[in-house]
Amino acid sequence: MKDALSFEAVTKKYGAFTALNNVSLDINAGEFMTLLGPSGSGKTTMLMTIGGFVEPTAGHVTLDGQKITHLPPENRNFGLVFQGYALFPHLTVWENVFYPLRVRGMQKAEAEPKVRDVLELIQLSHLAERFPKQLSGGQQQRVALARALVFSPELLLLDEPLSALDRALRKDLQRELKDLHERVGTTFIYVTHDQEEALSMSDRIAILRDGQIEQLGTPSQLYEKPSSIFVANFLGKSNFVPVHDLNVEGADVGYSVGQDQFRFSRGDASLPQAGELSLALRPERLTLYGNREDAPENCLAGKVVKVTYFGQLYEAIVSTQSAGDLLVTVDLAHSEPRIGDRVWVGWAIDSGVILAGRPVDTDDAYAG
Amino acid sequence: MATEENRQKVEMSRVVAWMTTCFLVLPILIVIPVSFTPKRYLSMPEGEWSLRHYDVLVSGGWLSSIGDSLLVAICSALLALAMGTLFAVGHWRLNNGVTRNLRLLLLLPMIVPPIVHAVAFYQAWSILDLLDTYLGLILVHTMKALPFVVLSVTASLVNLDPRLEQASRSLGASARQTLFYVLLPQVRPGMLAGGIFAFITSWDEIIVAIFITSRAVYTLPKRIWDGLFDNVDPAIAALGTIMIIITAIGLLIKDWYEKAQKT
Amino acid sequence: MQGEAGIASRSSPLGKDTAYWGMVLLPAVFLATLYLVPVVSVMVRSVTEPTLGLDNYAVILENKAIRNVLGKTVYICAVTTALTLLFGYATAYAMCRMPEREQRLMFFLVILSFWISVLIRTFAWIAVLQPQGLLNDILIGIGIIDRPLRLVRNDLGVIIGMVHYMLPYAILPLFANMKTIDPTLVPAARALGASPRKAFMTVFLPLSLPGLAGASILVLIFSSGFYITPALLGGGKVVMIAEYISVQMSETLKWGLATSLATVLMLVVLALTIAMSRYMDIGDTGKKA
Repeated sequence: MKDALSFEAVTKKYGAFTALNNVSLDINAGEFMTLLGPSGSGKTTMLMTIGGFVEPTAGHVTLDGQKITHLPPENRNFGLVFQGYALFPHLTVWENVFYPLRVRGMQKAEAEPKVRDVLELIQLSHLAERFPKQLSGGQQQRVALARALVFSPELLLLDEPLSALDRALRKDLQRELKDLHERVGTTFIYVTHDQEEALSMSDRIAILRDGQIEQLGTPSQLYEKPSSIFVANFLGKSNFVPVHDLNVEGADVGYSVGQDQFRFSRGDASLPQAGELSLALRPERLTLYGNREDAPENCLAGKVVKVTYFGQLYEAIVSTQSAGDLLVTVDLAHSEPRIGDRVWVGWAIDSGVILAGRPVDTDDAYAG
Repeated sequence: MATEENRQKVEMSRVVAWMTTCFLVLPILIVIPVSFTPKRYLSMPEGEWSLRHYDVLVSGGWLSSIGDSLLVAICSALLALAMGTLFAVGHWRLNNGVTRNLRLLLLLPMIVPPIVHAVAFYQAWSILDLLDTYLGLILVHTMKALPFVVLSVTASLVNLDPRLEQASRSLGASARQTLFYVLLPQVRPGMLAGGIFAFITSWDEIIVAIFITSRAVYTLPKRIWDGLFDNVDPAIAALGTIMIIITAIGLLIKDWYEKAQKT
Repeated sequence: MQGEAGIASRSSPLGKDTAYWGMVLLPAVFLATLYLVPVVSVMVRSVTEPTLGLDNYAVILENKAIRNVLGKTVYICAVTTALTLLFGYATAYAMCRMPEREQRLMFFLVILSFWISVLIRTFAWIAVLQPQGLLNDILIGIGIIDRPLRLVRNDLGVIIGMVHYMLPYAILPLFANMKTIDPTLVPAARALGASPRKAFMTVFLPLSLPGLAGASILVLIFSSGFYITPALLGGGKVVMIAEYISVQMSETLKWGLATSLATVLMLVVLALTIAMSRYMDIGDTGKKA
C-alpha cells in the first residue's frame, strides 16, 4: 500500500517553545490513525500542520510523495472537523454542507444530490433547514462531519471532535464514526486526549509527548507492550514493580523483586539496558490465589487492603512486601476479595513488559 | 493559527489599524510640545522652552473654573450615582413591563442630541430662574449622567443570582438590610465605573453649559470654549497636556487594577 | 436571566416590593418632571410659536438656507460615517488578530483618545491644520507646497475633526462584536476550500454585519447632532443643523424655528436609535430573552 501522508522530520517552534521536535510519521491510505497525547504534547499542532494552518520550521509534509508543506489550506482538499465544530452560525445545515461545494464554484442544483446524500449518510436530512444553534451537540457534530465529507476529501482530519459531548453520547458517536470510516474509506486522522476513545477506534495510534512520538503501533501493541513508563501510564492502568538483577538466557529472562526470583518470557521484545528497571503489569493480568500451590510460578504474597466494586468486576489493592501496593482486577466469577485476606498475587511468565526507569510518583501507578 | 493562515490580509489591515491609531493619537499629543512654547500665540517651541502658559493656569481665571467644574461634577456625579443605583437595583428586582419602560426614560438623555438639551433647558431654566446657577447646571449634568450609572450598575447586576436576595431574607435580614449588606456590595464595581463615567460626563460637558451659564458659573470647558473662539490661547495646550497625562495615568491605574483583580 | 428574575419577583408577596418601587420611581419622577417636561415643551413650542400650527415646519421645507444647512448636515454625516466605518472596521479587524501585547497597546491608545475632551482634541486639530499650523509648516518645509493649504474653515477640516471624534465609537463596538465571532470559523472555511478572500466575504463579513450596522447608526446619531467640531473647525463656513439651531436661539431669537429644528433632529435621532436597537443591545446587557 502506498503512503498516503508522510511527516518528514517536521519541527515547529514558537519562539523558544518547540511544539514539534523532528517528527516523522507515515500514515497509510484508508487508515484510521489517532494522535494521542496530553495537552501540549503537539498533537493539535501536528493536525494543523497537515491541515495547512501551521507552517513547519523545518521538515516536510508529503502527500503521495508530493511536498505540500507550503500549500495553503484551501488547496489541500482535506476535510477538517474542528473541536468546537466551527459551524457557520449564519448558514442553515444545508447551506453549511453546501459551503465547500459553493466555494468550489458548484451551483445549488448541481450540488443538491451530493448534499442530500451526505445528509442522509449522517441521518440529518430532516433538519436541513435548521440553523446550527437549533441543533443538539451531537447533531452539530454530525453536521460538521457531513460538511467535511461532502467534497470527498483525500483525508479527514478530526480535532477532538467528541470532547464537548457527554459520555453516553460520545460512546454512540464513536461507533458511528468508526462505521463511517469503514463506509467512506477515507483516511481519518484523529486527535484526542481520551485513551479509551483512541483504543476503541483506531487502526494505529501515535502517542505524543513533548512534541515527539513516544510510541507508534496498533492499540493492542501499545496496550500490551508499551515501550515506556509514560505510555504504560497514559494508556489504561498499570502496576510498576521495581525489578533488578536481570539475567538473560535467550528468550527467557530472570529477574528479582526484592529477594524473590522471577522468570519472564520476553518473546521478541527488546530489553532495556542497565539502569533502574520496572516491570509493568496490567491489573487484569494479575490473579489472586488463596494458597501458594494454586498460584503460578511468578507470585508474591500479600494482604488485601482495599476493595472497590465496579459492577462488572472488583478492583482490589494488595499490599506486598517487595513490590508495594498492587492493583488487581478480579472478575465476578471469582469469590469477592475481602479486606485483610492473605493472598498470593500471580502472573503468567509472558505477562507484562520490562521498562527502563521508575514511575516518578508511585501514585501514578493507579492513574487512569 | 489565525495569524499564519491569512497573514497577508492581517498585515494589510494591521498597517491600516496603526495608521488609524496614529491619526487618533498623534494630533492630540501635539498639544504637549505646543504647551511649552515661549510665544504668546500657538506655535511649536523652537529651541527655547517655557513654562509661562502653565503659570497662566494657576494665576488666571483658570483656577476658579477648575473649582467650578469640580464642584458641579462631584455634585452631579453623586446625585446621579445615588439615583442611578437605586433605579438599577429596583429594576433588577422588579423587572416588569413598567420598569422596562421607565428604564428607556432614564436612558433618553444619552440619546437626545446635546443641542436639543440646550434649547430645552434654556427655556425651562429661564422660567424656573435657574439660569447661570450651580443648581441649574448640576441638575442638567445629573440627568445627562444618569444613563451611564444605570447602565454600568445594571451590567454588574446581570450575573447576580436573584436567589441571593431570597437567601438573605430567609436568614432574617429585612429588605433594607438586604439592600445594604447583600445587594449594594455586589454592585460596587458597577457603581465605581458609573460614578467615574458620571463625573467625566459633567467635567467634559460643554454644549448645555454654553447656553445656560454665563458669568456666575464658569466651568472649565466653557472657559476653553471661549478661549478657542477669542484667540487660540496656548494656555489651553498647557491644560490639555495636564489632562492627557491625568487621563493616561487613570487608564493605567484601571488596567493595573483589572489585572490585579484577575490574579 | 430575565425569566428567573421575573419568577422571583412574582413569587414573593406584594408587600415586599414596595421599597423597590420606591427605588425605581424616585429617579423616574425626577427625570419625568425636570427632563421630560422641558424636552416635550420644545416640541410644543415648535407648533405654538409664533402661532399655533405647523408654520415652522413649512418654513423648514421651503426656506433655501435651511435646506442648505440640512443638505450640508446630511452630506457631512454621510462622509464622516463612511470614513469612520471604513477605518474603524479595518482597525477592529486587525486588533482581533494581533498578538495580545500589541492589542492591549492599541486598545489603550484608542481608549485614551476616546477619553480626551472634545475641546482639547479640536484645539489640537486647529494647531495642526490652521494655515500657520504644523501640517502646513511641515509640507512647506519639505517643499511639497509653497503656499499653505486651506485645511480648516471648510468641509475637509470638519470631516477630519468629526472622523477623529467618532472613530472610537466605531472601533470599540466593532471590536466587541468581532470578538464574539468564533475564531475557528475562518480557518474552517479555508479548510473547506475557500481562499482567504472568499472566507472573509462568505463567513467573517456576514457575521460582522450586525455590528457594522449598529456602529454605523451609532456614528450617524452622534454626528447628526454634532456641534463643537463643526462650529470650531468649520469656523462659520460649514454650518450644520446643531449650529444653525444655536444661532436661531441665541442671535436671531427665532424660537419657533429653533424648537422645530430641534424637534426634527430629535425625531431623526430617536428613529435611528430604534433602528439601532435591532442590531445592538442598547445597554440591555444580557437581559434579552
